[in-house]
Amino acid sequence: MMPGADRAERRKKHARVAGFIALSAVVAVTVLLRPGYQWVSLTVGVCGAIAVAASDLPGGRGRPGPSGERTKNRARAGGFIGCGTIIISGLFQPDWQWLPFAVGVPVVAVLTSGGLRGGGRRGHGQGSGLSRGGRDDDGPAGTAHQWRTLAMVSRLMPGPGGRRWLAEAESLLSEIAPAGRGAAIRSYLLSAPRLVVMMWARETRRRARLGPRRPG
Amino acid sequence: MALRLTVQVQLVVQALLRDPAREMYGLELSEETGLQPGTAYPILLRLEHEGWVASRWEDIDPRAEKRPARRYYRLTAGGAVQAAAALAAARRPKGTALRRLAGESGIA
Repeated sequence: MMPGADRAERRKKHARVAGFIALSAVVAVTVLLRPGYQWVSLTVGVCGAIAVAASDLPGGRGRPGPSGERTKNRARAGGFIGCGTIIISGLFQPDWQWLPFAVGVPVVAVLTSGGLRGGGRRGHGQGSGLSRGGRDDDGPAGTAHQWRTLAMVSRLMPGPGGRRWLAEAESLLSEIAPAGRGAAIRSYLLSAPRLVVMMWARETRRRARLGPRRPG
Repeated sequence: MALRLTVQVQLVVQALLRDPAREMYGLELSEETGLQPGTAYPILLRLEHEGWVASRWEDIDPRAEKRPARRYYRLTAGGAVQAAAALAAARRPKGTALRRLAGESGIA
Protein backbone atom coordinates (compact mmCIF):
# COMPACT_ATOMS: atom_id res chain seq x y z
CA MET A 1 0.00 0.00 0.00
CA MET A 2 1.23 3.45 -0.83
CA PRO A 3 2.10 5.77 2.05
CA GLY A 4 -0.73 8.17 1.12
CA ALA A 5 -3.31 5.38 1.08
CA ASP A 6 -1.96 4.08 4.40
CA ARG A 7 -2.38 7.50 5.91
CA ALA A 8 -5.92 7.76 4.55
CA GLU A 9 -6.72 4.36 6.05
CA ARG A 10 -5.39 5.52 9.43
CA ARG A 11 -7.54 8.65 9.22
CA LYS A 12 -10.59 6.52 8.49
CA LYS A 13 -9.86 4.41 11.55
CA HIS A 14 -9.47 7.53 13.69
CA ALA A 15 -12.77 8.84 12.31
CA ARG A 16 -14.47 5.58 13.25
CA VAL A 17 -13.04 5.71 16.76
CA ALA A 18 -14.17 9.34 17.06
CA GLY A 19 -17.64 8.29 15.87
CA PHE A 20 -17.81 5.58 18.50
CA ILE A 21 -16.69 7.97 21.23
CA ALA A 22 -19.21 10.62 20.16
CA LEU A 23 -22.07 8.13 20.05
CA SER A 24 -21.07 6.66 23.39
CA ALA A 25 -21.01 10.17 24.83
CA VAL A 26 -24.55 10.83 23.57
CA VAL A 27 -25.72 7.56 25.08
CA ALA A 28 -23.97 8.10 28.39
CA VAL A 29 -25.08 11.70 28.81
CA THR A 30 -28.70 10.92 27.95
CA VAL A 31 -28.82 7.88 30.20
CA LEU A 32 -27.22 9.67 33.15
CA LEU A 33 -29.03 12.97 32.85
CA ARG A 34 -32.44 11.95 31.57
CA PRO A 35 -33.41 8.44 32.58
CA GLY A 36 -36.85 8.94 31.02
CA TYR A 37 -35.27 9.27 27.61
CA GLN A 38 -33.20 6.13 27.62
CA TRP A 39 -35.02 4.92 24.54
CA VAL A 40 -33.54 7.80 22.55
CA SER A 41 -30.01 7.06 23.64
CA LEU A 42 -30.53 3.37 23.09
CA THR A 43 -31.80 3.84 19.54
CA VAL A 44 -29.09 6.36 18.67
CA GLY A 45 -26.38 4.26 20.24
CA VAL A 46 -27.37 0.94 18.72
CA CYS A 47 -28.03 2.27 15.21
CA GLY A 48 -24.90 4.40 15.21
CA ALA A 49 -22.71 1.64 16.54
CA ILE A 50 -24.04 -0.86 13.98
CA ALA A 51 -23.51 1.60 11.15
CA VAL A 52 -19.99 2.52 12.25
CA ALA A 53 -18.99 -1.04 12.96
CA ALA A 54 -20.47 -2.38 9.73
CA SER A 55 -18.22 -0.16 7.70
CA ASP A 56 -15.27 -2.07 9.12
CA LEU A 57 -16.66 -5.59 8.76
CA PRO A 58 -14.86 -8.05 6.49
CA GLY A 59 -15.64 -6.97 2.96
CA GLY A 60 -16.54 -3.55 4.24
CA ARG A 61 -15.56 -0.21 2.77
CA GLY A 62 -12.51 -0.39 0.60
CA ARG A 63 -12.69 -4.15 0.17
CA PRO A 64 -14.60 -4.86 -3.00
CA GLY A 65 -16.57 -8.03 -3.62
CA PRO A 66 -20.23 -9.03 -3.89
CA SER A 67 -20.59 -10.01 -0.23
CA GLY A 68 -18.81 -6.84 0.83
CA GLU A 69 -21.19 -4.78 -1.26
CA ARG A 70 -24.15 -6.55 0.35
CA THR A 71 -22.79 -5.88 3.83
CA LYS A 72 -22.26 -2.23 2.98
CA ASN A 73 -25.74 -1.89 1.52
CA ARG A 74 -27.31 -3.56 4.55
CA ALA A 75 -25.35 -1.31 6.88
CA ARG A 76 -26.45 1.74 4.96
CA ALA A 77 -30.07 0.64 4.84
CA GLY A 78 -29.96 -0.14 8.58
CA GLY A 79 -28.39 3.22 9.26
CA PHE A 80 -30.99 5.03 7.19
CA ILE A 81 -33.90 3.23 8.86
CA GLY A 82 -32.37 3.82 12.29
CA CYS A 83 -31.71 7.49 11.69
CA GLY A 84 -35.12 7.98 10.09
CA THR A 85 -36.72 6.42 13.16
CA ILE A 86 -34.72 8.69 15.44
CA ILE A 87 -35.67 11.81 13.50
CA ILE A 88 -39.36 10.89 13.28
CA SER A 89 -39.55 9.84 16.91
CA GLY A 90 -37.99 13.18 17.83
CA LEU A 91 -40.98 14.93 16.34
CA PHE A 92 -43.20 13.37 19.03
CA GLN A 93 -41.00 14.62 21.88
CA PRO A 94 -40.99 18.40 21.35
CA ASP A 95 -38.45 19.11 24.10
CA TRP A 96 -35.95 16.72 22.61
CA GLN A 97 -36.21 17.59 18.94
CA TRP A 98 -32.69 18.94 18.89
CA LEU A 99 -31.16 15.59 19.83
CA PRO A 100 -32.44 13.47 16.94
CA PHE A 101 -31.58 16.24 14.53
CA ALA A 102 -28.15 16.88 15.98
CA VAL A 103 -27.30 13.20 15.84
CA GLY A 104 -29.42 12.02 12.92
CA VAL A 105 -28.42 14.56 10.31
CA PRO A 106 -24.61 14.12 10.57
CA VAL A 107 -24.99 10.33 10.74
CA VAL A 108 -27.17 10.34 7.61
CA ALA A 109 -24.63 12.55 5.84
CA VAL A 110 -21.75 10.26 6.80
CA LEU A 111 -23.64 7.13 5.82
CA THR A 112 -24.68 8.63 2.53
CA SER A 113 -21.10 9.42 1.71
CA GLY A 114 -20.40 5.70 2.04
CA GLY A 115 -21.94 5.26 -1.40
CA LEU A 116 -19.26 7.34 -3.06
CA ARG A 117 -17.31 4.50 -4.54
CA GLY A 118 -20.28 2.72 -5.98
CA GLY A 119 -23.34 4.42 -7.40
CA GLY A 120 -23.03 7.49 -5.22
CA ARG A 121 -22.89 11.04 -6.41
CA ARG A 122 -20.10 11.40 -8.89
CA GLY A 123 -18.71 14.18 -10.91
CA HIS A 124 -19.21 14.87 -14.58
CA GLY A 125 -17.98 11.97 -16.64
CA GLN A 126 -19.17 9.26 -14.25
CA GLY A 127 -16.26 8.64 -12.02
CA SER A 128 -13.50 9.89 -14.22
CA GLY A 129 -10.51 11.41 -12.52
CA LEU A 130 -10.26 11.71 -8.79
CA SER A 131 -13.45 10.03 -7.65
CA ARG A 132 -12.88 6.71 -9.40
CA GLY A 133 -12.36 4.22 -6.58
CA GLY A 134 -9.45 6.10 -5.11
CA ARG A 135 -6.69 7.92 -6.87
CA ASP A 136 -3.82 6.83 -9.02
CA ASP A 137 -1.61 9.53 -7.58
CA ASP A 138 -1.99 10.23 -3.90
CA GLY A 139 -1.06 13.89 -4.06
CA PRO A 140 -0.57 15.66 -0.77
CA ALA A 141 -1.37 13.68 2.34
CA GLY A 142 -5.05 13.52 3.18
CA THR A 143 -6.30 14.62 -0.25
CA ALA A 144 -8.24 11.41 -0.87
CA HIS A 145 -9.97 11.88 2.45
CA GLN A 146 -10.73 15.52 1.62
CA TRP A 147 -12.14 14.46 -1.74
CA ARG A 148 -14.60 12.21 0.04
CA THR A 149 -15.53 15.12 2.27
CA LEU A 150 -16.17 17.21 -0.86
CA ALA A 151 -18.49 14.53 -2.20
CA MET A 152 -20.25 14.34 1.15
CA VAL A 153 -20.70 18.12 1.25
CA SER A 154 -22.12 18.08 -2.28
CA ARG A 155 -24.96 15.97 -0.93
CA LEU A 156 -26.01 18.82 1.31
CA MET A 157 -26.71 20.91 -1.80
CA PRO A 158 -29.81 20.61 -3.98
CA GLY A 159 -29.38 17.74 -6.49
CA PRO A 160 -28.34 19.41 -9.77
CA GLY A 161 -26.41 22.19 -8.01
CA GLY A 162 -24.46 19.70 -5.91
CA ARG A 163 -23.66 17.50 -8.88
CA ARG A 164 -22.43 20.45 -10.88
CA TRP A 165 -20.32 21.75 -7.99
CA LEU A 166 -18.70 18.37 -7.52
CA ALA A 167 -18.19 17.84 -11.24
CA GLU A 168 -16.54 21.22 -11.59
CA ALA A 169 -14.36 20.61 -8.58
CA GLU A 170 -13.34 17.25 -10.02
CA SER A 171 -12.58 18.76 -13.42
CA LEU A 172 -10.49 21.51 -11.90
CA LEU A 173 -8.67 19.36 -9.37
CA SER A 174 -7.65 16.90 -12.06
CA GLU A 175 -5.76 19.66 -13.84
CA ILE A 176 -4.27 21.41 -10.86
CA ALA A 177 -0.71 20.56 -9.79
CA PRO A 178 -0.68 17.93 -7.00
CA ALA A 179 1.02 20.37 -4.63
CA GLY A 180 -1.87 22.81 -4.94
CA ARG A 181 -4.69 20.29 -4.68
CA GLY A 182 -4.94 20.28 -0.91
CA ALA A 183 -5.32 24.07 -0.77
CA ALA A 184 -7.84 24.02 -3.63
CA ILE A 185 -9.98 21.38 -1.91
CA ARG A 186 -9.81 23.35 1.33
CA SER A 187 -11.02 26.43 -0.52
CA TYR A 188 -13.95 24.46 -1.90
CA LEU A 189 -14.79 23.18 1.56
CA LEU A 190 -14.50 26.63 3.14
CA SER A 191 -16.84 28.22 0.62
CA ALA A 192 -19.30 25.32 0.77
CA PRO A 193 -21.47 26.40 3.74
CA ARG A 194 -22.34 29.73 2.11
CA LEU A 195 -22.89 27.98 -1.17
CA VAL A 196 -25.24 25.44 0.44
CA VAL A 197 -27.31 28.26 1.94
CA MET A 198 -27.28 30.20 -1.35
CA MET A 199 -28.30 27.18 -3.41
CA TRP A 200 -31.10 26.14 -1.06
CA ALA A 201 -32.41 29.70 -0.84
CA ARG A 202 -32.55 29.79 -4.61
CA GLU A 203 -34.07 26.33 -4.82
CA THR A 204 -36.73 27.24 -2.25
CA ARG A 205 -37.62 30.38 -4.19
CA ARG A 206 -37.82 28.34 -7.38
CA ARG A 207 -40.09 25.74 -5.80
CA ALA A 208 -42.28 28.46 -4.29
CA ARG A 209 -42.61 30.02 -7.73
CA LEU A 210 -43.59 26.68 -9.26
CA GLY A 211 -46.19 26.05 -6.56
CA PRO A 212 -47.21 22.68 -5.09
CA ARG A 213 -46.78 19.57 -7.19
CA ARG A 214 -49.94 18.15 -8.67
CA PRO A 215 -50.37 14.46 -9.41
CA GLY A 216 -50.71 13.45 -13.03
CA MET B 1 -31.15 40.77 -4.87
CA ALA B 2 -28.53 43.06 -6.42
CA LEU B 3 -25.04 41.67 -6.84
CA ARG B 4 -22.58 43.01 -4.27
CA LEU B 5 -19.36 43.94 -6.02
CA THR B 6 -16.75 42.84 -3.49
CA VAL B 7 -13.06 43.00 -4.37
CA GLN B 8 -13.11 39.30 -5.27
CA VAL B 9 -16.14 39.73 -7.53
CA GLN B 10 -14.38 42.69 -9.16
CA LEU B 11 -11.31 40.54 -9.83
CA VAL B 12 -13.40 37.87 -11.56
CA VAL B 13 -15.37 40.43 -13.56
CA GLN B 14 -12.16 42.20 -14.60
CA ALA B 15 -10.64 38.93 -15.79
CA LEU B 16 -13.72 38.16 -17.85
CA LEU B 17 -13.91 41.71 -19.20
CA ARG B 18 -10.36 41.62 -20.54
CA ASP B 19 -11.73 39.75 -23.53
CA PRO B 20 -15.51 39.44 -23.21
CA ALA B 21 -15.79 37.06 -26.17
CA ARG B 22 -13.26 34.63 -24.71
CA GLU B 23 -14.43 31.61 -22.77
CA MET B 24 -12.51 30.82 -19.61
CA TYR B 25 -12.63 27.80 -17.35
CA GLY B 26 -12.24 27.66 -13.59
CA LEU B 27 -8.51 27.06 -13.43
CA GLU B 28 -7.72 29.85 -15.92
CA LEU B 29 -9.87 32.28 -13.97
CA SER B 30 -8.32 31.18 -10.74
CA GLU B 31 -4.81 31.74 -12.12
CA GLU B 32 -5.70 35.14 -13.60
CA THR B 33 -7.37 36.45 -10.48
CA GLY B 34 -5.15 34.79 -7.90
CA LEU B 35 -8.26 33.47 -6.17
CA GLN B 36 -8.57 29.89 -5.00
CA PRO B 37 -10.91 27.85 -7.22
CA GLY B 38 -13.30 27.29 -4.33
CA THR B 39 -13.58 31.05 -3.87
CA ALA B 40 -14.12 31.78 -7.55
CA TYR B 41 -16.91 29.21 -7.98
CA PRO B 42 -19.61 30.89 -5.84
CA ILE B 43 -18.80 34.19 -7.54
CA LEU B 44 -19.25 32.68 -10.99
CA LEU B 45 -22.48 31.06 -9.87
CA ARG B 46 -23.83 34.38 -8.62
CA LEU B 47 -22.78 36.12 -11.83
CA GLU B 48 -24.56 33.39 -13.76
CA HIS B 49 -27.71 33.79 -11.68
CA GLU B 50 -27.62 37.51 -12.39
CA GLY B 51 -27.39 36.78 -16.10
CA TRP B 52 -23.99 38.40 -16.49
CA VAL B 53 -22.24 35.16 -17.31
CA ALA B 54 -23.18 32.10 -19.34
CA SER B 55 -21.52 28.72 -18.94
CA ARG B 56 -21.35 25.40 -20.72
CA TRP B 57 -19.64 22.05 -20.34
CA GLU B 58 -16.84 21.38 -22.78
CA ASP B 59 -17.87 18.86 -25.41
CA ILE B 60 -15.09 16.27 -25.27
CA ASP B 61 -14.65 12.58 -24.69
CA PRO B 62 -13.01 12.43 -21.24
CA ARG B 63 -11.48 9.03 -22.00
CA ALA B 64 -9.84 10.24 -25.20
CA GLU B 65 -8.63 13.47 -23.62
CA LYS B 66 -7.70 11.72 -20.36
CA ARG B 67 -9.24 14.48 -18.29
CA PRO B 68 -12.76 15.46 -17.26
CA ALA B 69 -14.63 18.08 -19.28
CA ARG B 70 -14.14 21.68 -18.28
CA ARG B 71 -16.88 24.17 -17.53
CA TYR B 72 -16.39 27.29 -19.63
CA TYR B 73 -17.63 30.74 -18.64
CA ARG B 74 -18.02 33.88 -20.70
CA LEU B 75 -19.76 37.21 -20.28
CA THR B 76 -23.13 37.59 -21.96
CA ALA B 77 -23.67 40.65 -24.18
CA GLY B 78 -25.84 42.33 -21.56
CA GLY B 79 -23.60 41.09 -18.79
CA ALA B 80 -20.52 42.72 -20.31
CA VAL B 81 -22.24 46.11 -20.41
CA GLN B 82 -23.61 45.76 -16.87
CA ALA B 83 -20.31 44.47 -15.53
CA ALA B 84 -18.32 47.34 -17.08
CA ALA B 85 -20.78 49.88 -15.67
CA ALA B 86 -20.79 48.27 -12.22
CA LEU B 87 -17.01 48.11 -12.18
CA ALA B 88 -16.71 51.78 -13.13
CA ALA B 89 -19.20 52.70 -10.40
CA ALA B 90 -17.32 50.61 -7.85
CA ARG B 91 -14.05 52.38 -8.68
CA ARG B 92 -15.64 55.82 -8.20
CA PRO B 93 -15.13 56.98 -4.60
CA LYS B 94 -18.37 57.23 -2.68
CA GLY B 95 -19.69 60.62 -1.49
CA THR B 96 -19.28 59.71 2.19
CA ALA B 97 -15.67 58.64 1.62
CA LEU B 98 -14.93 61.92 -0.18
CA ARG B 99 -16.54 63.94 2.62
CA ARG B 100 -14.51 62.04 5.22
CA LEU B 101 -11.30 62.66 3.30
CA ALA B 102 -12.17 66.33 2.91
CA GLY B 103 -12.91 66.57 6.63
CA GLU B 104 -9.62 64.93 7.56
CA SER B 105 -7.60 67.33 5.42
CA GLY B 106 -9.53 70.37 6.67
CA ILE B 107 -10.92 71.33 3.27
CA ALA B 108 -14.57 71.31 4.30
